[in-house]
Amino acid sequence: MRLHDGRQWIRLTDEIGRGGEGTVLAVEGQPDRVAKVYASAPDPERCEKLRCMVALLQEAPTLGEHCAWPERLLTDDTGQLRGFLMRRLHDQRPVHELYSPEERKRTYPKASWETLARAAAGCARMFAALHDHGVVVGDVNERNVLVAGDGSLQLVDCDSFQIALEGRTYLTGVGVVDYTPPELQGADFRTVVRNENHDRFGLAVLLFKLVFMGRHPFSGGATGDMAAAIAACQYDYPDVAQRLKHLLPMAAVPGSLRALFEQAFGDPEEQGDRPDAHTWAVELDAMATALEPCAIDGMHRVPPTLSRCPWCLIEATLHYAYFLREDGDRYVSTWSPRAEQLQWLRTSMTCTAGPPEPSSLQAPENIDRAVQMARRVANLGPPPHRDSWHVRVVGNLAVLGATALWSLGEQRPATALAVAGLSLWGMGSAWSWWARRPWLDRLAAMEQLHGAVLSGADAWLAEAHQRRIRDRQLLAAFEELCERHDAIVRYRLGEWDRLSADAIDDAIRPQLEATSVEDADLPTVITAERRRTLLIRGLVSAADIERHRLVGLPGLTAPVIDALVQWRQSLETQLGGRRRPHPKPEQFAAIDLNCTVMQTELEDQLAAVIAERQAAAQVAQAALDAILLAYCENTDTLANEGENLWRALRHYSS
Amino acid sequence: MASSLPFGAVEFAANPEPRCPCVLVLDVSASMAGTRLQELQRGLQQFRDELGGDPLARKRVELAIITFGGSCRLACDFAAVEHFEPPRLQADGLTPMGAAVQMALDLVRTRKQVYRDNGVAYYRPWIFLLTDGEPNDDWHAACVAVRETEASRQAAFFAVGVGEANFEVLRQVSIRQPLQLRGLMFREMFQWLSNSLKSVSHSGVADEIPLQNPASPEGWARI
Repeated sequence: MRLHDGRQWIRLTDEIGRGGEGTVLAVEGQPDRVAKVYASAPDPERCEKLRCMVALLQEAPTLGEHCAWPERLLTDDTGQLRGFLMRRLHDQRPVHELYSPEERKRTYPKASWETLARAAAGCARMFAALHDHGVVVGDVNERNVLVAGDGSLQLVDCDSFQIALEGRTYLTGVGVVDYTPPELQGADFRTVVRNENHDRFGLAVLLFKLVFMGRHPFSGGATGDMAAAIAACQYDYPDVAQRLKHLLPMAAVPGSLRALFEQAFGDPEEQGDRPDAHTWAVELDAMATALEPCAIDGMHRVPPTLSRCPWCLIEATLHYAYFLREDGDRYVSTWSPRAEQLQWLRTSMTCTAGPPEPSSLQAPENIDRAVQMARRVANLGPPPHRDSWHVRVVGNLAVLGATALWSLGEQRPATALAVAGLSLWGMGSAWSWWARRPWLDRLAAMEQLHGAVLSGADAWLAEAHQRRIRDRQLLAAFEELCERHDAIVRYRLGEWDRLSADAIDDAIRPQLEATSVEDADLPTVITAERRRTLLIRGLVSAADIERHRLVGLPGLTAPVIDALVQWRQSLETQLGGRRRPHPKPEQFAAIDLNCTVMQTELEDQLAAVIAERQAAAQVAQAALDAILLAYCENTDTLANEGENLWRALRHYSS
Repeated sequence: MASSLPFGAVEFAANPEPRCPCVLVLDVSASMAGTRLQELQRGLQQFRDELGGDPLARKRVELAIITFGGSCRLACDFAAVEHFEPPRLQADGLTPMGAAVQMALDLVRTRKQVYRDNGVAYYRPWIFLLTDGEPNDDWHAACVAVRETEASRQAAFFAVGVGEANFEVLRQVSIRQPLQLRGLMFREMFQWLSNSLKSVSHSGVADEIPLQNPASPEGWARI
């Protein structure tokens, strides 16, 4: 393609990019320029706007420093405007690849939080340069801001800027809700006239995302609807970060920056104009300068407002590193909370079967029949004296006959008959007794068996209950060990803290201790009452004024705590304690080693509890199975024997 | 457990971009077997590649796939495009569409809770139903649920019929005009879907995006 740039014909070669409006092409012989060519001829309004922009650049050449500003217009052979020439930006990536943590770790592995703060300051300076010339960016969003390899920022899509020249205003016409201030939410982007104050909102959102790990200041709340949240000025990141301890807390940035964010995201009617780009640039640069590397990981940058490195804290709770580690002579901790190991042990414990549940007892198949038979037999009762009846009647008759004979004087036959009768009677009784005895024995055995069956279930349940009590003890012991394992994370942080704190204090501790809270010239926010609170809580000297000891005390709000910590820091500076001796790496290593030893010991004990539970469950199963087997056998025997006995008894009795 | 982190905390720390969830509810009943399924499978692969090529959509669009054929199955739970791998589809069984639609609504509801727990904003979820037959289960309950969801703007529901799909049913399920796929233009359909999701994810959360008309003469659909 061949187009005229006002001075000469130029040839456009390779396509570099493509957007909604047209394409960006390389220019033959001009490696530092590219051409944006519209897909269809731009309307007269757009043509006029581009002419104005080129004219504006003549007046203020600095405008082109921070963005791909249209430098020359391109026309085809009919004289129709087709596009424009602009500076070519090399190796640039959209800013969202810098503020998204995971992507930043890939594309900018060396970037620290300081890099991000500096990039934010650069972004503010870029906006300041445009605003100084009355240019409004309008469509602020994460795709229009590019970052170069050296961390410098540039704006693209400059033909969408809102330009005012010679009494006319050329509008942007588009916008992205996430960067649109509350007063423009719901407005029609095609007709809305923007001002610098609107731009400042979008700028503040970009800066916030750069500083706060890509998080948007408005989470959208319960509906996730960002437009509604912005319209209602629900700047809720501070609350979300209170709830989610793994987010960077607001306290990580200086109070002055926090105030700027509140001014930018608060209700415009209450807050007035939003902070301008120059203010942001100054504050962000100051913040970046104050950051210090953390003693544990050189890539961590610690703000002076915090007593403990926020990144170490986040890594410990979230187990995710926002920054890649820097290897070097610093101690690089490889300590891990070993959460996976603990989780694995917990899962193994859950999957280990305990002793059988008492409710798992299944009554033997024949239990109903057995009980029924036992009842039937019991109802029939022992058999009557029946088999010897004839003999005893004959015996009785014989005795009667003998008595008759005796009365007739026939003594001898009477005696014989009586003896025979008595013998018969005795024999009959003996036979009867003899004949009933096996029945009685069977009945007694039956009764005993019935008792065994009735108590069989109780025996099983009692045994199962005993086993469960023991099992519960094992589970409780396991849980206690797990809690001790979990607690090591906190223990380690405390130890690291103590080590860092000791190192901070050693040099100037005596002087700090000599500065009494009661008499010291404390910041004005410390009222008499607050001073009393400190003294009551045992914070009597400057050495006691430590952030973690102040948090949560009644009446001490975040700004008050900040003021106290700053007071102590200024005291330290006065005493020459600013350069603090870092703890030795081996001291940190020793704590980590100790923690790892404790963890592995606990894990061994946990594994032992699991093994014990497994073994106990097997023993319990075997014991309960034996009881159950006897129970089932007894029931079967009772059912069968009961039926046989019942039938036989009925037959016998009839 | 000592940890009080919400589900997915690491995922949303690594990538805190607002999310644009999209559920594909795909008919894999026996009638889809053959060329239809092959084309659908190719379309899915291309869909993933298209979205993956966009640096912002890659981080914002989350895809899930529910298939229904015989039974309905969560073939692929929500994953950002960069971690999404299209599942291998297999055609089998009848068409339990009602259950699949209900499952999609539940899936979207649960996912939104995860976003809220993590303090991440989200776009209106998209549910994209594709079927070539007639539901063989009770779809009336699903119909009511979809209408309620649309009315409260909880999700946007799109229905596309392939071949001899029952459009009477689709018209009742979807508030939007159901579309009929021209021939086997699955790839064109997914191209349209990925373009639409890209423009949605480039806009701000809650912007209304004018979508390209898929039923234009060169489009992939007929009304």
